[in-house]
Amino acid sequence: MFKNIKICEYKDNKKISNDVKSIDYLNPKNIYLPLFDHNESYECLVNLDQKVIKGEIVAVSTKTKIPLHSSVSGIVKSINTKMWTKIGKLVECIEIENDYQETTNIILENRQLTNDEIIKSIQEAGIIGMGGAGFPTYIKYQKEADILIVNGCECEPFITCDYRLMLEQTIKLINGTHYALKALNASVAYIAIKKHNHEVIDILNKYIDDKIKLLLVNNKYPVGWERYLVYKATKRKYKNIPIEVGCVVNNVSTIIAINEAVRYRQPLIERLVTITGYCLENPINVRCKIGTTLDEIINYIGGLKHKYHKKVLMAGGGMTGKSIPVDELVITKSLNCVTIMPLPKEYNKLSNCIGCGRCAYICPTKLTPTEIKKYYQLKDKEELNNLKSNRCIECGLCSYICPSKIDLTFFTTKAKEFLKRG
Amino acid sequence: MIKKKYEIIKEPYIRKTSNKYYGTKNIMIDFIIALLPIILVGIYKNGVEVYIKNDNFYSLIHPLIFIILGGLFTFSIECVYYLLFDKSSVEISCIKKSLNSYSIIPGLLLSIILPLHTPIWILFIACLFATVIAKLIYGGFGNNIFNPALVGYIFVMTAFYGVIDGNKSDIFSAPTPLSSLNNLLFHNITIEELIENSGGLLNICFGLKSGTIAETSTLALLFSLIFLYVKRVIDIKTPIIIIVTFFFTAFIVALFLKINPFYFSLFNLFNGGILFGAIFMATEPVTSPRSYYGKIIYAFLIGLISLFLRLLSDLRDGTSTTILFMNMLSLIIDNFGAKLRVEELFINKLKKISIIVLIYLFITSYMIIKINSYKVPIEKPNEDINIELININQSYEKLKENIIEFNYKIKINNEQFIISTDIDGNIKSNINDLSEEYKEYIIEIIQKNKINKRSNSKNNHYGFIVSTTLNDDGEEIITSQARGYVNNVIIVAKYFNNKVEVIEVDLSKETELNGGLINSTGTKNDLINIGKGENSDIVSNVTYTSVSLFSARKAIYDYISYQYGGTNE
Repeated sequence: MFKNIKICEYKDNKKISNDVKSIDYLNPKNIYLPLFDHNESYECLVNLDQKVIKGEIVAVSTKTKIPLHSSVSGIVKSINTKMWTKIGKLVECIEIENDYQETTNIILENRQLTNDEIIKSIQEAGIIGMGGAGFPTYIKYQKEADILIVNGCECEPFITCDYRLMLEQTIKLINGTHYALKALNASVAYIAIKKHNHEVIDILNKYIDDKIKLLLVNNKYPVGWERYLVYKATKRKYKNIPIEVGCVVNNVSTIIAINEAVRYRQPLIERLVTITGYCLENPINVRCKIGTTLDEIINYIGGLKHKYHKKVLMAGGGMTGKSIPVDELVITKSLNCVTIMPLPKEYNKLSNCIGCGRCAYICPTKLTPTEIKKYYQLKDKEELNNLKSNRCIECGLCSYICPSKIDLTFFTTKAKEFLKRG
Repeated sequence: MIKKKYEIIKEPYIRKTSNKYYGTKNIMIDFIIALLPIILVGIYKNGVEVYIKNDNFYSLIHPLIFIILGGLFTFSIECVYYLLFDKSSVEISCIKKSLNSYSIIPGLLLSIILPLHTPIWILFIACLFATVIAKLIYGGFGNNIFNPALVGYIFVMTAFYGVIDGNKSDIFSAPTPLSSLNNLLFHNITIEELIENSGGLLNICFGLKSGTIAETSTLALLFSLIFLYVKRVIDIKTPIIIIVTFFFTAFIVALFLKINPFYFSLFNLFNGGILFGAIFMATEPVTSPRSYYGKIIYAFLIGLISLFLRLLSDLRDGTSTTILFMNMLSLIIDNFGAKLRVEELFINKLKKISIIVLIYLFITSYMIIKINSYKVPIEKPNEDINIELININQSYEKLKENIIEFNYKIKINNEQFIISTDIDGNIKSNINDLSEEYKEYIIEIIQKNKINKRSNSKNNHYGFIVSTTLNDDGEEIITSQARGYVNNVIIVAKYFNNKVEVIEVDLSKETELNGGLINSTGTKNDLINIGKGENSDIVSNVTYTSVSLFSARKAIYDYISYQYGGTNE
């Protein structure tokens, strides 16, 4: 039904950061809050040289009204600094200089809330999908659903932050799941997890009851895809979004953020990021503030190995991560991993398409990347529509499998953008 | 602070090509390796066996040289082309460029699918055409629309057909099983007889057949297919769908034509180039569709159309033409398949699939109707009358008077008649006493089985004595004749002192239609030995010609045993 494959390259990709306890880096020098993220621009609410406190709303998204909170207290230095974000582009950011005072008006209080209050506090906390997609979470909760799926698969190579979260913050995860269930009026929650993660399964088994069940998946890619998980848990198929069939899929990080937001009214200002890759001295999961730049974190955790001359930095895991040329990369809400790897040999030695059809065979959305590439180069909008280019989930499998090293994912993503631009 | 610069690559970072055993190069090398079983069997069958027969060292290495030359030709043609015309990147040598475009493959394939007796200069022309016209002017490896090897093959087969076919190095104009297929469809030989002539069903399926290297052994092809599948060089769907469609359609056609469907479809599947085409030609990635459903539709249509061409066209084997034709359509099919795959509405999907089904039904029914209209209707004899031809004998009494006459022993409703005719089947004996009905049947059965007529009855190889002369010194010169595949074969033998010695074997008329060019590789005595039916043929299996030789020889011995009471052999 849904194709997924085992990725055999870089077999120790998870191991290098799996077993290390995550550390905190909560004192960045400056933070940068990008004003454009996930196809949505944010409206800046602060002025230059304004003093802001931790947890203050500095920007709000134009369409979905997602607030962006300052994660430190300090002074707004600039509102148009250009910085690199995970989308692989330079984006205007609000720059806030940290005064290390941590002044805040966040009152951590234990609350009991109704459905609507939970959804409201999710919106107020500015929670978006933290697994990478960045879809505003409160929108998912506006309709009732009967199944909640907590996505802890982390099918993508190199990412381990969800694994560490499940291991270290199990209680928060379970509580967050209960809040989410309550908000949705859902009957059951599945925690999707890979079969071979025995440690986590052992811990989670203690909390399993009528409402929370485990959904074990194979160690393949892309099993963390929403459509696959919904089908696996309920045998339901949907057209656009899972709520159509009464399902909601949330990442583990998102659920924990919901827990913090609902229980303690804490906005989303921190997250766990996996900093990993063969080029790092100590690959590790770091809890850091939203807006921290990557170079500070790398320095803090011990820097880069010198033995590799040429390196590649990816905002994301080994499959979907976008390549970034500098390490002043801003940690945003949906950035879950940064991978720094040596440059592969002969990476640009393309050969002609031999037409083997592996890309079409492997595509989980049943697209034909070679055709899409052809019509993208011809800029044929109608054909691209007929070929359903916008179905692409950018999993990267077509480029991965291509024996001729053709960048099919790149072209398909471009075609998708091209269609979206209209 | 020093800025750490990173290289920019396109996502994803993880590529399967980081494994050095995965990539275009390895796929192509595996493809060449997969050809090895076929080449080895081909060399054994067409080189070693011929060498054992006639002790000519060149015939031992001929197949090997032929294959090596094929690869060498295309390789060097590409080298020269790049040297002369490609000025794009000077630092890469033309040899490297030629290697990078896997130029050796079309040449190897050509030498495998062309008949082995093709002159080398024709092989060269085929290679030139394949490489330059079909590959390089389209932009080289990966850009060609048509399968280069097939373009070269079709070109030389059309342009130099006479030269290729007339230059057979084996003495027998061996009708391969496929060329007998016409007889099955348009005359009245049965499939059982056809299979028997080709050495039985098992031999057809897995034996070594006459033909080009590619057609020799099904077993070797099977090995190649398994290798290609295990190494994931080809998509296993394509050959399987081609074979299944081909078999299934042949089955249906045979059912409608009231031929044994299993025999008919197996016979068609295991003869000719359909298996080789399905495994090595149709799966050639560059020229076949890339999309998932595209591959399925492409394979389906190849199976269907190659059967269509085989049964209804003059081409001996329609596979290569079909694949070229489908190459042309593969871009359209690719697009069609890609859209079919993402189609959301079931009804739209159904509409698209129904187009394919309609094409299938149309072509299949057309085939059945057309063949049925061609087929000579077999008149069924009246059920009340049971008529049977028991045997035919030459009348040696009349031979003494230099008249060639034959006695047909015919049984009608438990009554036996002996009818004498001349060589053309004109009745000599008095049959006026018989009833009109009986007369009609007797004439019919004699016309059907008459000697010296090319038909497919058992008696068409009947050997008989044409003349005998007794010399003064007691030698008797005996000339016997039998109908071959095309014309008569004649053996002249000398009987003296209880010994038979062959003086001459005349096959010139038999091979007349093939241009009359014979490079006989056997001696006269060899021919008689061959005619015994033991090792019936050097290259091919039992053929009309060898059966005729056998009959002619038998006639001589029959005559001698009649005249002298047997020889000491």
